[in-house]
Amino acid sequence: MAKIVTVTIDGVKVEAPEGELMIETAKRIGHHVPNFCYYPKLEPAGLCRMCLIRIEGQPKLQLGCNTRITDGMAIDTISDAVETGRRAQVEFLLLNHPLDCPVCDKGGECVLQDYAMAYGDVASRSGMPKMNKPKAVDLGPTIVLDEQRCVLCQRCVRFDNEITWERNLVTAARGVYTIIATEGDEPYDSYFSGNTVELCPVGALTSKTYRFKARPWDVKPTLTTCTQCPVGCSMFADSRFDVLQRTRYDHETADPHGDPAGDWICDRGRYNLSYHTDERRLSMPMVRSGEDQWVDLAWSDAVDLVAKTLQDAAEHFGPQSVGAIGGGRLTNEESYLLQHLVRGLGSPNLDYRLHDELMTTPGRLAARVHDLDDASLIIEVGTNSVELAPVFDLRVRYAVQRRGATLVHLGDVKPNWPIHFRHFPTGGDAASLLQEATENVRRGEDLPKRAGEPPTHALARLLRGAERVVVIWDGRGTAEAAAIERLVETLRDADKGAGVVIVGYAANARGAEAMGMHPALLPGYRPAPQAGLDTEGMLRAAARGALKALLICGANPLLAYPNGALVRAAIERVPFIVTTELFMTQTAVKSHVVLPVKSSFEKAGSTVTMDGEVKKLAVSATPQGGEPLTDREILFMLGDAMGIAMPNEAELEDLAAAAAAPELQQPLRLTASAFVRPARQSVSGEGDLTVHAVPRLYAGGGTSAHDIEFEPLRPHPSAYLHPDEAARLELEDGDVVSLRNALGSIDGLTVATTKMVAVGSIGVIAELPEAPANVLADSFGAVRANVALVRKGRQTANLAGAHGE
Amino acid sequence: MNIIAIFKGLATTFGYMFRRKATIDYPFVKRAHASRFHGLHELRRYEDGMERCIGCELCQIACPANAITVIGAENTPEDRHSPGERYAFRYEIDELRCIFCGMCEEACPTDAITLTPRFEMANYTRNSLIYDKSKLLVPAEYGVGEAPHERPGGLPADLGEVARIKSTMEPERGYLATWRGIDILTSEGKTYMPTPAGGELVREPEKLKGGE
Repeated sequence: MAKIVTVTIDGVKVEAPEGELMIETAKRIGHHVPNFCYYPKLEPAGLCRMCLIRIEGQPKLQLGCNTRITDGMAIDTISDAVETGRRAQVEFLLLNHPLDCPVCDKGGECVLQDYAMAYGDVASRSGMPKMNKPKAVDLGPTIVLDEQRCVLCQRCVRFDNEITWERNLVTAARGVYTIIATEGDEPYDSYFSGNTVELCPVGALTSKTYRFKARPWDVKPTLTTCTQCPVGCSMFADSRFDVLQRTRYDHETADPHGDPAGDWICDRGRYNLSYHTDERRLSMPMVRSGEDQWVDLAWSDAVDLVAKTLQDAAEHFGPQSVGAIGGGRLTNEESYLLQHLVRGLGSPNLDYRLHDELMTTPGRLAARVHDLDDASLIIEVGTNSVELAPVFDLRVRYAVQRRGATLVHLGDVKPNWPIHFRHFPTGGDAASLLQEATENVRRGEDLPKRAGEPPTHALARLLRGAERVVVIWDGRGTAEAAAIERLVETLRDADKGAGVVIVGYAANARGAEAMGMHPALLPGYRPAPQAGLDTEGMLRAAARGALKALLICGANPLLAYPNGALVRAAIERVPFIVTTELFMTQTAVKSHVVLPVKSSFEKAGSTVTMDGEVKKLAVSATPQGGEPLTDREILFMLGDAMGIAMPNEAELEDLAAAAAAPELQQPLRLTASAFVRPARQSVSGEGDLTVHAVPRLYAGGGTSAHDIEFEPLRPHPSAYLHPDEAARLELEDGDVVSLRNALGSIDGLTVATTKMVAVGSIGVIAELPEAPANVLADSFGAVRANVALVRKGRQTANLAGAHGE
Repeated sequence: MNIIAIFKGLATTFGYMFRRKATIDYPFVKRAHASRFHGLHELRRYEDGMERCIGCELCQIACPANAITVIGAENTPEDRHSPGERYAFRYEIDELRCIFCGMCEEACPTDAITLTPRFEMANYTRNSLIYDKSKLLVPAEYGVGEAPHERPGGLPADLGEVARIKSTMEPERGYLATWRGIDILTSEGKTYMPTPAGGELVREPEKLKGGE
């Protein structure tokens, strides 16, 4: 703790920790010091010179955002001298500032407007014409920059340097000609670009999707939780006429001095919004009649049909012939109802897991996300937090860059980290690498560094040198689970801090698990008396013809499930599939009844983040047209129609809250019998190259594929090849290739050379509807396939997101 | 006594019979308005046909009756509606909610929205009294003032000047503006008034003073 000192601000004695910035000390007595460049989460910069204050004994005005207090200082934030200084500074800033306020997106929430009212003169004293810097500069796929409005506070540049470490934004030219530009005039391509729009104190940076749509006073803000990835960021959803206009990070309830890398939101959560009003959204319940024929139904008929068919199936073929997949995209309450309904039918066949993962709750080995801040070693196993949990990844970057943690990645495809990390290729077997390193640590072997040592030695040395270790894992692989458990226990036995963070594949995977959307676990992680079939079991039963009815709620197994051959065979053979969806996804097209649902912005409920925190969803928009209902309403209606006793609304909320209680997770082990699965083959199939499905933040067959405004951001089908491998195959960036093996082929892949993938491998984007990677697979690990050139071309390869390389 | 009272009363009656009538033959004859009369709105254009409105929504927030709805959008080189970046993609005034206070006029930074003295908008449905751009915007040939394409900040040069003109669309049409009995804004000494049949009654200004 810093020493507490006493300073006098405007005649008031204030006690504050020594070394605090004066602007913060002034806030303690409610005196606001005007500023543009100062932002609590960024390092002080002293660029805008607006925060002028007077320190007694110093002849000139000083910067409040850049000067730290010492004992006995006397500071004026309100005095004639200070006032004159600020007046001059505002005049200086307004010299070339355009009179754009009526059309400016920031007008109404602009700091410069406020200060011009407080300190500005009515008319400019300058007789010179204003300088015309470029207007509406296209910075990248998401941002438009108005150089005229910029006050050069560099908040955006500093965010990009200090928080994301991507260093895309720079200042160019000098003096009055200074502008904000991108490094090398490359497009500003970042998963966090939208945050700069909010950081901008004036209207210089604007969002392409929000430009001129509404003024700040039009929109109704609602505090809700993002459901696009497991991180579960709090954010404000601003809607106008009940239509969602924009989302913003939570700047009101979040602590402004909290973790600098926390509380931001990513561009998927910010720009993938207009799917709500997309005309492809489902409006009415539909039943299939014929191959591609669909007939609209009234809700009452649809519910009767589904209820009756499910009951018939359970009666004639036994309850085991009914199953449910989903829950990862539902709220806790909906997941609870879904398992309640299916278990009420007598069937234990339930699962939320679509990616062959074992679990998303780390149980007693859990590390909290804030444990990253003082971690000395961060090991990422299998997963790719850059793509799967972007805002969480900012904390990883912060821990490495600011706190000196060492970052290690174990896997086949390197993540696009813009920071330094060590990569250990595993060849699909991270478990044995971890195991050997753990045994080394256990034996206490001294392993001096030498050239050509096996990777286990290097990893063991890192582990021995580390005081606090956080393992980030995707939850896949029984052997990995055992190895990670052994590693964490070994480190904990040696009195070191260690824990696991699991990055799930669905937004509310952890909530679904807590609510008992699991074949072996009841709500609150209680073991089920009779274990049912998991996703794989259900699909295998379906492929045999044993599964007669399948309820799919908010899931798209045909696109997401890694074993493409299995899921295709299974979906073909189930006689009755009901899907609740927003859009006609790959799975919805193959089902028999499709029920339109409300999106996560249109319903209330709670969700569990990957950190185990329970967060609330609030209604911020209403569906425009059609008759979608929430999954909760649908499940209630189905329960009533089937005569299953359902909890009422109030009971449901209590039950869901009780099941999500954090202490219930404590006894869980990664190797608990509920999670064990047979070992997977690491590579299967015949072919030249090993195919790895690379997760991408903007991929997916639902909300991202049905959003016109998000369309420019979506990745094109790509084939990521190592430059050496590309040279061997005589392929260049921009060539179009197809990838095929005995099971199928994916076409139209644009070659992009990158060192992300190893020689002998090829990376294709996972869960991309145009080129579904799981077509090539009939197993759960990597597959082999041959690449074939379709067309030579130099069209721009999509390397979006490949910052680090 | 009573008979005298009757004649006294009749004298008043006959006295009024030969005085000038207080009523006028509306709708064939219309009384002159005050010069600042607030009637139906009109959205103006510049000389080159560009819309003056930039969709800034200041009228919407200034409106005390919540009668105005504006939704902005971005101009593109192919689809340019107004000088500068932004235009009103949708502009609607619910004339039934409007209290004709003129706050929108005052808030407008480009003199785009004005209240003309036209007041005859009675109609049979509520919906028909929600005026959108097709009803509010003057035809392209009635634009006034130079469009500020090149001016920094997009401010019109004639800001405040055009606010005095109550309507750019046939300014002389549809009303008589008088101020303390003196006609203003009449063209060629004549005042034109529309008739329900669509024809025009031409009157000499002096005959109309103080009504008929």
